[in-house]
Amino acid sequence: MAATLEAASAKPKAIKLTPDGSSLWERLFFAVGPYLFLILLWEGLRRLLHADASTMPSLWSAVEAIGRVAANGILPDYIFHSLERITVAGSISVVIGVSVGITIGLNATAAALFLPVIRYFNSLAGIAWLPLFLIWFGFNDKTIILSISYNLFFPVVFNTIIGIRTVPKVFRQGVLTLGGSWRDVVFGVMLPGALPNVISGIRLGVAYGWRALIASEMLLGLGGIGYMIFKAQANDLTDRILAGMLLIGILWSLMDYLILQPLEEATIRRWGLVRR
Amino acid sequence: MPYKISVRGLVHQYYNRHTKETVLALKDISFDVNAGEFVTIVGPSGCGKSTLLSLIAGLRKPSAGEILVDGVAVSGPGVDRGMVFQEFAILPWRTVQQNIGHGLEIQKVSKEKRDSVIARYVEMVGLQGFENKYPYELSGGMKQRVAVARTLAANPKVVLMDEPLAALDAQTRVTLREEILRISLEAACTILFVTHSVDEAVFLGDRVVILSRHPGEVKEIVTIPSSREERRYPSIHENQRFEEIKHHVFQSIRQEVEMADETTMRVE
Repeated sequence: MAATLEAASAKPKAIKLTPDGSSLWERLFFAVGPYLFLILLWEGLRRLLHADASTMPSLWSAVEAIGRVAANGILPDYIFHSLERITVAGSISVVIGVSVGITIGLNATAAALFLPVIRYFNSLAGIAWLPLFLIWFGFNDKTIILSISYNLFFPVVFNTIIGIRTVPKVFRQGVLTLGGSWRDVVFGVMLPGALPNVISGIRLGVAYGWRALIASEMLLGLGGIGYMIFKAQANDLTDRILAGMLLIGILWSLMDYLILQPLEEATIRRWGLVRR
Repeated sequence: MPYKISVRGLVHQYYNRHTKETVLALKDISFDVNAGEFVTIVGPSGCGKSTLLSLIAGLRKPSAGEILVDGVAVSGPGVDRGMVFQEFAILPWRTVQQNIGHGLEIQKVSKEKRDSVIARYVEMVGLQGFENKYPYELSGGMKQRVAVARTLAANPKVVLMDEPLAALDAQTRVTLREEILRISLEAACTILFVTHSVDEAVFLGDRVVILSRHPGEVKEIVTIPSSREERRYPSIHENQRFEEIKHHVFQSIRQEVEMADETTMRVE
């Protein structure tokens, strides 16, 4: 009996479901821990398989390779190329994708006309178009940018459509009974209401576009991180391949962290549309 | 004096795409609402009381009959008929004051004028200190206060309320009933209030319109003898006359529900 009472009066241990609001050490652990695990896994496998540096180079040698390409000026140039391409392609596709998505989301006729076509072309991976783009535009940036734009476009369109269609009807009705016009409904309700989906569409689209960028850079040989990897393979520079792969991930994370996440933070999280 | 709202021979039918049948939701509804009056509409579930309200709001078109507000036929939604919805319907990306001022923004009222109107209604619904909060930071009761203030701030001729308290917990519901009563006197507006709660309908209304079972018709209109100023919880329950009327309305609806059940059973 006494034991039960004691147990009942003992302070219940707080259950933490997310690492939010925890100590610096905990936050550091959650930020670095997963990567540390992957590093250990890679290094462990290398030792376990007795892999030599030309098949499975150490991560340290990859880091050294990054230092070398950075020092000789290739890297800044290639990173600039890659970022320039994704920026141009991203801007084109976001503008077109969001506009098309809004039109289809708002208009049943437009949806009936264009949605089946868009679904059809979505199934054709952007890379499947590359041979045709090459014939039409040749070995230049236009081909790469088009291939990125193509992949980026679809997630943006589909998410925008979903965003528009899932705005609660009662939001529209509310604004109409306040004397709102069609314009007030579109710009005051439908667009802000669709924003969370539009932003996740852009985030997903840029990720798809990023993959298309690497793939088409490999095939076209016009510089960029993708080309660096491809060239390194031809020259048996395995550490440089690994370096390129690390950079692709790092650059992506930086883009997401510096541009896409703040965008989300500034809008939908502040409105409580996405749970913190 | 002309009526504030006149509903004349209103019929509403719609096509159900799933059952492929034309459904008669409302058949021949007629009633009038005087200026400054608080009329509640109550009826068994599925009788079309919410449909009736959205027809008056102009959010749907009636199949026959007409609705006049100050003698002018309703042809679509408009600022003269404000509406408060069960689902709150305030916009999550607008702060409390931005939501309350939304109607004025639509009417292109100047910022200074808007701010003074917003301040007045923030006070009326008791949301001082919450002006810059977003809806997700508010409780259900507070959200509905914002919705009421937003509707009143747009200065409509009539306020339509579609089960505004149905999504709230019991305690908040009772508190907000008294609040709505007080606000209705303070804002001196004409209110048409739909509810499925007999207690609510009788407590709030100057008159209670009882709708029949599906398809909805006006079964009876009951006048509540006490004035809105006199009604308070819990003293209202000591009022013998009030309890009798409540019992009468309750029986009237119950009869409809039972008859509806019999009809359904016969069909089955």
